Amino acid sequence: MNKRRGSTLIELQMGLLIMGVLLALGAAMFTRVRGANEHTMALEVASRLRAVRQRALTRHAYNGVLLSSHAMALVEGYTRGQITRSFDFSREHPDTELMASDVALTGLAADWLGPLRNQRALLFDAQGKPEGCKTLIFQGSAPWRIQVGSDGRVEVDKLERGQATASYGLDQASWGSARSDNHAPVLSALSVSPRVGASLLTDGVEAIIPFNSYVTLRATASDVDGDRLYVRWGSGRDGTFTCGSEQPMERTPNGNWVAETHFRPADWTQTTPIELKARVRDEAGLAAQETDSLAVSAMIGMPGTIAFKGYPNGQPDSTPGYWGCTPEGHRVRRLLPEIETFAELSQDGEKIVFDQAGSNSVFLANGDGSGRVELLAQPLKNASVSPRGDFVAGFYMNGSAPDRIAVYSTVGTLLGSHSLGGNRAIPRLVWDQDNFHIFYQVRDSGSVALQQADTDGMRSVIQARVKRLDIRAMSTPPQEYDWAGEPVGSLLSFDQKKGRVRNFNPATGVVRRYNFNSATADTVSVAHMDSNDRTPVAGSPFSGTSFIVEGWDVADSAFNGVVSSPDSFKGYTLSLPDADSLRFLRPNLVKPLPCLPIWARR
Amino acid sequence: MAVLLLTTMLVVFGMTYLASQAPEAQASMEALDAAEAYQMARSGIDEARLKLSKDNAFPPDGGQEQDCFTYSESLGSAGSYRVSVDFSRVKPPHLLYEIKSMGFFQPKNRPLAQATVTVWLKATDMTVVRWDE
Repeated sequence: MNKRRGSTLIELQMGLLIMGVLLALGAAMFTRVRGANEHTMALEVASRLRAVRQRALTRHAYNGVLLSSHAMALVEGYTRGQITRSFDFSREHPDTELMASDVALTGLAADWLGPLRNQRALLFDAQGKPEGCKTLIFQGSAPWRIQVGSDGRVEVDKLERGQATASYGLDQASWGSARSDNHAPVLSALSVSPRVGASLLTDGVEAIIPFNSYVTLRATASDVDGDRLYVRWGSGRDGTFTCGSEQPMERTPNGNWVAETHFRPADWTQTTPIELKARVRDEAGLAAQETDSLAVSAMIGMPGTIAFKGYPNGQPDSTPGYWGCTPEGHRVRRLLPEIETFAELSQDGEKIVFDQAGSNSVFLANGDGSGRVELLAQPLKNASVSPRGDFVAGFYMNGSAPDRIAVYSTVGTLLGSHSLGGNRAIPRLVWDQDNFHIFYQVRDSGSVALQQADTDGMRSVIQARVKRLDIRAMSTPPQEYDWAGEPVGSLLSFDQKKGRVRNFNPATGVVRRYNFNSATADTVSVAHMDSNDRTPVAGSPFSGTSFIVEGWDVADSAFNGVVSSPDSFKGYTLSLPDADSLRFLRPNLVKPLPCLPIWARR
Repeated sequence: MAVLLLTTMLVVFGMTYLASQAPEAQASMEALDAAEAYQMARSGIDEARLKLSKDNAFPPDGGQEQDCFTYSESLGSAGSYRVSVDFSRVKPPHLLYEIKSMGFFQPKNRPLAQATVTVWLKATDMTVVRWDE
């Protein structure tokens, strides 16, 4: 039986549906051939303009757009205009160019735009009224136009070919560059802070990262197309950038783009230089450009702190404070606000003992100046904290003469006290590196005795017939003391006279003398006393150029800085006749280094 | 046949209408993105303010040479913010922190939207002295 079956209604509908879809797509493809690009782009922009106007009305504030040939940026903000989003039409509409008349904004609108005021813009105020470029032309095979009426209404209509530029006097050449001609951004600078004295920058190193701190990297770039720029950071060694490895840059009022981040290495023990890099790219979609990278070479600074008494901002009439910095002079920071006569940082950097302006008490604080507590409610002159921060020692005075020397624990318990027996002592002491013994000076009939005190008593350890014995030089830590067959002790160095340094081993009583040239205003020469052979090391004495540090006053010309560092014995702090500078010397370096300035600013 | 013709026409008209509404929908989404970015920037301000109030080690001590600290934090897929704390005027007589927070709505290396909020805080009690957005 020949049974013929027709199509069901569902089948017919499905067939027609497919045909309809194909027809719609075909129509769209066909219309795109001529004018659809411009029309679609005009519709898109018009929709965004309506949304912007709506936003201005609802927020009761300016809202608007910045216009360029193939891009548009939304600008909004209550107090000032900022770009919140940008659109690049070059990918979807490569053959269509947006053109707009150049209408300068004035008054409140210009103030609101701030540094963006010189760009072509269309703004809507809180009442939805437009200002700026109210006519936009989409130039291509068939031009379309957006016209914004004085009431804020946005309308789209089609223009006759050739009508656009002729009717509106728009000069295509003056209207930005097309994305196909995207220019590469220029990375003009990569700066590092904190800055460092040029004398420290050896072997190609351009920056020093303060120990246990960070450096700030700042990239400056520009782009003639006005594209938004992004910076990519990189480092030759593990570390952390506080803003991630890539970040959008920020536009400055002068049209440049800047970005800032901070770098902190992961490993502080590596001494080889680290390369820090920056690279910038623009946002252009089709032909994004990227710059070559700029790089700086940085190395990690020495650990430790130089602590010193100084006046803030170069005002010697004010009360001095206690300051700290790294051995390179970085991170100059105030540890204590005001001290009366003395303050001292322990050599492990953990404790500061000090007296406070307007008080007769002795105080103790952590190495960063925090946790201040009153240790003694009575004056203890020139108190000093032991190298490991366990004990505090100082002098009790009888009038202007030292009467007793006393040792306290860091909670204020008296551990030992010795009468000076009527001898004329110089109320200044130096702790032995064993953390238990103290050296100080007693004058006795034309000679100066160096005495040692501890909780068991006192004894004279050296007698020298000199006028003055100044023991402000540093001791050598026990671990560096390897004289065979001798007990662990310390090597005490002291100035006997300007230009002459003595080196004393309290365990054996052996004294060695070294001469070095006294400091002049321009150069410094220092001999390094080595604990092994007790002779000056090769290369020393050395000399270098001195620095005058602008705006810095060291409070006391007899200044005695403390270097709290594992390497402290390798350094000397000096104050020179031009007492406005503080210098730190590292005599163990192979390459002679000049004295290092503390970098400080007004 | 009339039904078929009507159906076809409805399909064509419907698709045309949907296509015409796409820019409107897109514009609405962009407004939402901008709002998200703004809220990111506000988050950065709030977070920096909290750190300044509660964390004694913030901003990290860079000494007198460094008077601005910048950091960014990512809030997962939502976006991120970048905060700059300018403490150059924290000492008398100004006693001010200037905090600038840039909020980015997804993803940070090519954000859909961004917004900036700048705030001055009194260093003594962290109250807002000036607010720019």
